[in-house]
Parts: sequence; C-alpha cells; structure tokens
Amino acid sequence: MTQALAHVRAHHAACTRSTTTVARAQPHPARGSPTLCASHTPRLESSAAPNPQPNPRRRAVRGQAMDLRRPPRSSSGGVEPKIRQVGFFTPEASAPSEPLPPAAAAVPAPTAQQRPAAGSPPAADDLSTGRLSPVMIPPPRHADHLAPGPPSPAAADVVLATSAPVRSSPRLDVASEIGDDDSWSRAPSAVELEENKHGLAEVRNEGAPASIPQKQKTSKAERRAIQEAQRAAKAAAKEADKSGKSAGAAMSKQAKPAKTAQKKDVPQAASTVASEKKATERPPERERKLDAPHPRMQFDDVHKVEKAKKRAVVNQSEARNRVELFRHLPQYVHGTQLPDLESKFFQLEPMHPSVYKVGLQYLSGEVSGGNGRCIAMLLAFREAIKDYTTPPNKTLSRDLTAKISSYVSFLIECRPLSISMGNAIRFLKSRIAKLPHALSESEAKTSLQSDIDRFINEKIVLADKAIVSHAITKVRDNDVLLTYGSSSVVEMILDYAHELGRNFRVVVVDSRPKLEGQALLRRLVAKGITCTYIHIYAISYIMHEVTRVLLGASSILSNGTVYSRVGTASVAMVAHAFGVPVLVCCEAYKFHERVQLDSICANELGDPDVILKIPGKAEDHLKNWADNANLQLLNLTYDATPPDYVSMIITDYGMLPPTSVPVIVREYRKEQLWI
Amino acid sequence: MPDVQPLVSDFVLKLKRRKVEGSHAVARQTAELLRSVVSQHRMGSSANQAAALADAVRVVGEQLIAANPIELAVGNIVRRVLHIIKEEDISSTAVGIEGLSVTVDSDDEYDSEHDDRPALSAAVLAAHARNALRAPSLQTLLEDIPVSPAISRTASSTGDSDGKSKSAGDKSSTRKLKHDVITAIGDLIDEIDSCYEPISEQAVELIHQNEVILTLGRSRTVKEFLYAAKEKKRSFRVFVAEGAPRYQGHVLAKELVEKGVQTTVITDSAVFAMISRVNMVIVGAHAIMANGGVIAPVGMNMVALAAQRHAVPFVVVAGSHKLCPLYPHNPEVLLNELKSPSDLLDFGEFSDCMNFSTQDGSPLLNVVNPTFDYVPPKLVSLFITDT
Repeated sequence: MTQALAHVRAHHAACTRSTTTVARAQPHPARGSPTLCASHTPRLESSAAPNPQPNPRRRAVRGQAMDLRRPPRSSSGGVEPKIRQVGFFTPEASAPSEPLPPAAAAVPAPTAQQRPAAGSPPAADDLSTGRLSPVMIPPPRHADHLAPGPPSPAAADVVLATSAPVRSSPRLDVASEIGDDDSWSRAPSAVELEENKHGLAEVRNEGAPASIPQKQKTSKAERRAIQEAQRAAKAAAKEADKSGKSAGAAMSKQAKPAKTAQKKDVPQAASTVASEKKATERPPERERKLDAPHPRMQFDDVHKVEKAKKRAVVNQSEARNRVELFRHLPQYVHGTQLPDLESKFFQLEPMHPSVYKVGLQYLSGEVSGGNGRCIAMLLAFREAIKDYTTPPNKTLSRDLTAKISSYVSFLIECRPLSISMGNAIRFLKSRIAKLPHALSESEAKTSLQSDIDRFINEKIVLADKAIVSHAITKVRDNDVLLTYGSSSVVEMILDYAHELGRNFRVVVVDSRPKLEGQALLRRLVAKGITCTYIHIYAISYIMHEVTRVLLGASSILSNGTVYSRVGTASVAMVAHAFGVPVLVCCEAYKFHERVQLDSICANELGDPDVILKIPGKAEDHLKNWADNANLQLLNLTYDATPPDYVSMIITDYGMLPPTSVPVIVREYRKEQLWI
Repeated sequence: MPDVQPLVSDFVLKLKRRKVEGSHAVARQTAELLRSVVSQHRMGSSANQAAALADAVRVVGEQLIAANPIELAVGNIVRRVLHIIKEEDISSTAVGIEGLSVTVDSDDEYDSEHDDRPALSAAVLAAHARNALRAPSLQTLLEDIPVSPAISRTASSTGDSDGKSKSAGDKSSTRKLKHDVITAIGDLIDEIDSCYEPISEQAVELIHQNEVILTLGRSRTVKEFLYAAKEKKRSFRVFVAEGAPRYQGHVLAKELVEKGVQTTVITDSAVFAMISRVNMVIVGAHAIMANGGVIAPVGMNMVALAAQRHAVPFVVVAGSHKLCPLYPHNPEVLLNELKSPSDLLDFGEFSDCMNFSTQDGSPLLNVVNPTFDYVPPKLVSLFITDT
C-alpha cells in the first residue's frame, strides 16, 4: 500500500499542480480544529453520511484485518484516485468513478465497513494518459495547508490517504472523522446520494455552509474535539509501533503537501496555528459578504465621482460628446494624461516607481492583453512589496493592504481593471490578510513575493500549458482554424500544433481600431504557418471554409458569458450560424462569479478618436466631430458573447461546456484559484 | 449603329475598371446609354422594327452585363428597356387591332401593319394586351422577356417570307415606336432618380418617436429615408456602423448630424454589442434576388444575424432597379468580388511576409477582402421599395 502511495505521489509530483489530469490521492493531514468542528457539526455530519466509500478512517483505526480481506489490487496503482469529473469525458473513463449505486446500498447496511473497495477505477496513469483526457477536478487543496498540524494525527492519515473518500472537502473529512457513530445521520443519505449521482452534491455542500446554525452543540463539538485528540494520540502510538516503512511514508506525506503548497510557511506553521484558527473562525456570513463581488463604480453617480476625483492622481478631463448610453462608464479625454504623468515621474512620493511605470504602460497601451496586464501588475506589486517597510506604529498587513489599494486605484485611473486583474488583486489581498502575525516583516515580505511568483507561474504560465495540452487534441490535420484578435493562449496552441507537424491553416480575423491581429499574423507567417488574413466584416465570407474557431477571452462569467475583445461575439455568432464549433480558451483565474447579460452594463470605452484614423485613407469626414453635440463616437473595448454560441471552454482544468463555469468558479475560488 | 459603339465600349471599360460603381449610378448610366443606342439605331428595311431594336439593345446589354456581372442593376435595366420596347410595340399593335375592329375605314398604315403579322395568334395578342394593361409588377416587368423575342422572331420571319416592300406609312410608324421607346426610357431614368421619394414617404409610418436605429455603411436610400423621418419632426437616434472597408458610415454620420439627427458612430465589431439596444435596423442593399435574398455591402450578414438574435426588425430599403429576377447560387462566392488587400494590410509594412511560400508554391499569406455579403431571406423582416 505504501508503495502504491509512493507511486501516486511520484506521479503527482511529476505532473504539476495545474495540470488537470492529476488524480490526487487526497493528501490529508488530519487536522481537527475544534472550533471548525463546532461551527459545522450538524450539517457536515449529514453530508458525510452519504459518503459512498466506507469511512476510511474508521477502517484504518478499527481493523487492520480488513485490509487482508481486500481483493488483490492491480500493481500498477492500487490507489483509487478519486476524481470528480466535469465536462467532457469518455464513458469508459467515467464509468469506474461511479461506484455510487453499490455504495448507496452498502452505506446504510451494517456491513458497510467490510465492503471491499470494489470497483476500483483504473490507475491514475491510465486516466491521465488516456486518449480523451477527461476533465478531472482534483479534490480541492486544503484551506489549512498553512498549518499542517501536529504530526501525530497526520500519521494516522497515512492509511486514509491510500483510499481517499470521494468527499474531499476538508470540512467533510473532518466530519467523517467525527462521525464515529454510524447512526448519526443516516436519514438524508438516500436523497443526498441521488444528488451525488449528478456529481454536483459536493458543490452544494460547499456552497451552503453559511446556513449552519452555529450556537448549536458547542459542548458536543468540544466533546468531539477531545475524542479526536485522543484518537489522534492513539493512532500516533500505533504508528510508532508500526514498521519504519509506513513511518517513512508518513514523513514523506507530511512533507509533501507542505512543500508543494506552501514552501516558506512550513517553518512558522507550528507557531501560527493559533492565528490560523482565528481566521477560520470568522463567521461564514461575513465571509460570504466579502466574497460577493463589489458593486462597480458607477460614473453617473455624481457624489462618488467627485469623491474619486479628490483622490485621483491622474488628471482626467471629461470627454465631450459623451455617449448617453454609457454614462455609467468613465469617459475621459484620452491622450492628455500621459505627458502630464510622465513629467511627474520623479516627484510622485506615494506611488512606487514600478507601479507608476506599469500605470503609464497601461495608459499608453504599451502593455495590453489580459495576461500581459495582469503579470505586469503583479510584478510591479512584487517590486513594491520588496521595497516596502512598515511604518512605525502600524501593522504590516493593514498598512500594506492600504498601500496596495492605493496602487490599484491609481492603476484603475490609468485604465479600468480587467476582471483577471481584479482576481489577482483579490488573491494578493487575501494573502496579505492571512499573513500570520508572528511573522517578521522580512519573512512576510518574502512570503508574499513568492506568493506572487507562484500565482504567475501556476495560474498563468502553467495554466496556459495545460490549456495548450487540452486544445491540441482538437486540432486535426487539414483543419482550418479561425482566431480573432490576438490571444496569447491561442497563439501558443497554434505554435504547438505547428511544432507537432499538424497540417492546418489559420484564418486570422482582425478588427479596427486595434489591429492586434497583424502582429499575430506576422509571427505566424514567420513560423511558416499558412495564414489568411481578413477583417471582421468579411467573417461571413470566410466562415464556409473554417472547421474550428479558437477564441481567447478576457474573462468568463458564471452564467457562461464570454467577456472578450469587442467583435468576439460577432465571430462566435457567425460561426454558430454556420455550424462551426467555437472553442474558447481561458485560464481559470479569469473566471468570475459575476453575471452579465449584455455588453453595455459593464464595459470599457476606448479613445473615440482612433475610430477616425483609417490606415491608408486620408480623407477625414468627421474631423471636428466633438464640435457637434449630436455626434458621438463610440469605441467599445469588450463585448459579451452569449453562452449558447460557445461549444466548449478550454481551461486549465479541462474542457467544459459553458454551463459548467459556475462549478469551476465555486469549486476553485477558495481552494484552488486563491491557492 | 456605328455611332454608339464607342460610347458602349467606353462604358464597358468603365464597368470593367470599376470606375462606375453602385447600383444607382450604374442603373442610371446604363439607361442613358441604352437610350442613346435606341436613338442612334437606324431603322433598317427590316419588316419588324421592334425586333431589330430589341436585338440591338440585347447585343449591347450582353456586353454590359459581361463587363461587370456583379452589377446586377445593369441586367435589370437592360431587361426593363427590352420590356419597354416590347410594350410599346404591342401597344401600337393593340391600337392597330382596335382600329381595325372598331373603325372600318382605317388608315393604310394600320392595315399594312396588320397584314404584316398574320402569324400573330389571337391568344398571344390577348396575353400581350393583358400584360400591357396590367399594373406593373416585378413579374411583368422583368420575368417575361423571353416572350418578346419569340414574337418578334415569328413576326420577322413572316415579314421576310412575305417579302413585302415597305409602305410610306411604315416610316412614320417606326419613328413613332422609336420616339415612344425613348420617352419611356426617359421615364425610367426619372424613376431611377426619384426612387427615393416613394420609399422615404413610408418613413414616418415605420419610425416612431425615440426610436433607436442602426445602419451599416452609407446608402443613399437609407439617408433619404432617415431624412424624411427627421423632416416630419420625429426625433430618433441612429447608430452608424462605419462599414469597413469603405468607411462610408463616417460620411453618413456627417450627413445625418448636419440634419440634426443624434448619431453615434461605432465600429463594425461593436454591432453585436449595441444591437440589444436598437429598435430597428435599416440598411440599403446592392441587389435583391428573386428568392428574397439580399446582396448587400460586406458585413451585412453579421448585422442581420445579430438583429435576428435580438429580434430586431431588419428592414431593407431599395429602389426597384435593384430587384433582380435571378436566383442566387452560392452567392457568397459567385456574386462577390474581391478587392485589393491594401485595404487591410500595408504592403510596405508586410513586404517581409510576402516572400514566404510553401513548397508547392502557394503563398503562406492570403488576404481576403470581399465586397458583398449575402443575407438569406429568412433574416430580412421587410423590404421597402418604390412602385
């Protein structure tokens, strides 16, 4: 068993964390925090009940003999990877992971624990190298990776890890540890199982903790905590008795999640348990409130605009001839701020120069594109954090958060944030807020810097690689791929397909005024890929030849709406009308729980003057357009593509239909997206 | 007709070189050319002048159509002129018949004319009389051209076989026919020029107060339509998609603003984003096919699809010279024209990419710049034409 465990671990380590095909064998440092138990007890017990697997912990603690009774497993990987599958997967792949109906029968039965681990799915390797890589959502990483807990309960966990429960949320596991008495809440199991079959029960359970009555049964929770501690001690004792082999495994197990998840937090972990508890103690209602997206600034609200102006660094002057429909969006004169800001470069005290530089780059359009902007911003923040010193009489976390906020508002003045940047900022702020108080300033700073590096690496760089590896399965010989604008991921896919020697043609669709496609075209042609270049007006002409449409996205909203460069919706619509599949490639960190129905309520307005500049055409019919109050020029930046035009979303967690976006958002927002 | 040949070849050249473009200009100039063809046509000794005239027009018309098959208006006008000739011929024949039956002591002129066509059966005559009397419709205007050569051929063959010498009265009859045809073509030209009026008369019935209208590119018909609504004190708002690659939307925006219409210029790519706030799409067309499909400036299919998605009425305004009796087959390709890629790419900038080619010699970089879009009839809510 330990061998098998090691195998899976090795596999796990080989695949990076962001590749989706990793079948994780639920590394779970058993950390039973009493407070957590207290707040979640009743509900969680009930949700633990339908756990199709016989409670592995119980098995581990109670009977060693049961292991002997198990049928021999295949040597390739006896561990049952518990995979939740979302999106497209072949029936072969999905079949084994549904031992639910037998389990449903087995769980209420008194012999549940003796049930052999039947129907064990094929080895993790089979799945990961499978022909159509199924979307496997690894169980969410523990929120408590910061505090790996005392080693003794973890030791007990070794056995648990070999056959991880389907229920993988940490809370649920805690609950399953607690649920010693089987009679506790068997009643709802049938119903829950029914939902479980639909594969969404986990989500429901995670989404609902706010409804848990908290005051209830504190005493019971305490009791349980004591019980838990005792059990942990017992397990530890047993562990000590055991052979050195499993102890070694325990060590490796203990070390690994910490290493992969949070390198630098390990040393301080022990000292920070207390503070961590405090963080988790927070009432869920408040947490939810914080999680809800902030209402956006509405620029037709006079008071708020006035207030914002007082704080502003950038001198904005209101554009003339504002478009009535977009009063709620900032409409300022473009091109005037840049020289002004450039002159202030050396005077500006409160702004860190690297942040300032990035702001100017946004303003001038030098840095653009969702990933590019996000990375530039994070690197600037990293620099700023590096040079940061806590002022006297202030705490680092508060002061730094305020500082970051001021940077962010400066960046917003330069150019409204993209949703992906908003997500990255949220991540950074949550990291700052969760910094243990005991950390020294330098430690905290290095911790944050490596957090940022990790975010860039995992959420953007590796995510892109994962997307490429998924999307490449959709590029076949003699394909004609159409892409719109210039998406970095799509370009990577095309490059990779070309490297693999696939024979395909690319249609690069471009649109004024940005003409981003020209740069993409140049790069593709230089690599020797056959390209056709059109502007968006000719899309209906070219669509006959196209076999697939590959699009990038600025963000994907939780109703499946793809929020992207203006024109994407038109391209997707025409492709839909011609029956051509539309694949949208987007990293999961760009997903957002916000919902948008049209392109008007939230958007960004570009410089209206650039509409008039037509390359190669001298005559200018609307030269002094601003003099006429009846005339407006509208330069939209984004539009919202309705989900029904999108055939598939390719993200780092796999390939999904647009209806599954909320699953990704909910499942990974806390545990995965924000690490 | 040696005198008209230079005129014809000049116009053919203009069409070929795309010096004349746009349905209205093409239709007008074709009609003018045909008028001069008719007026220069020397009525020979042939018995049937109408057939000879129609043949002459047809020869010129075939040249013009071949010069630029995309300009469907040319063919439409040629058909209209042929129809006029036929109509004039028949009306004079009908008058002849009438004169024969009603007034016993008729002129020699009519007598001889009647004698000329013994083969003309009563049924055909009746049909033609009906055609002449029926109110003009697309069917009668354009569809039954094949009938006229048939008649004229039978007529001329009988005339030849008879080998009758021309009477003095014939001269005046041919002069009358020619004169009538020329005036009728003049009317046609007037009709082409004034097709906007009957169309824009309907503007107030379709545009209500505070309407939001979207249009693509610039069409004179659309402009007149919106002007007419504005003149009737309707206040409305117009989104003008610029209509790349010609960017005539800018021109239209300028014209509308001068009339005091609230106008917003958007890029073509923003059409989908804005269409959800639009009440009606009003666009012009290049030609309307027999199945109701529209050959329109490029980008229109995108607009029509977006309009359908948001259940916005898609209204096409077009003069009747754009109505074409042909059925489209693969219109995206066959009724289209690829323009210079210089609209999209600057050759200077991309000169380094032009040299690349694959092993088999085909270039790596293709640039496609079509002119027209085909909008299938199911996407169109309403056609507004004159007549």
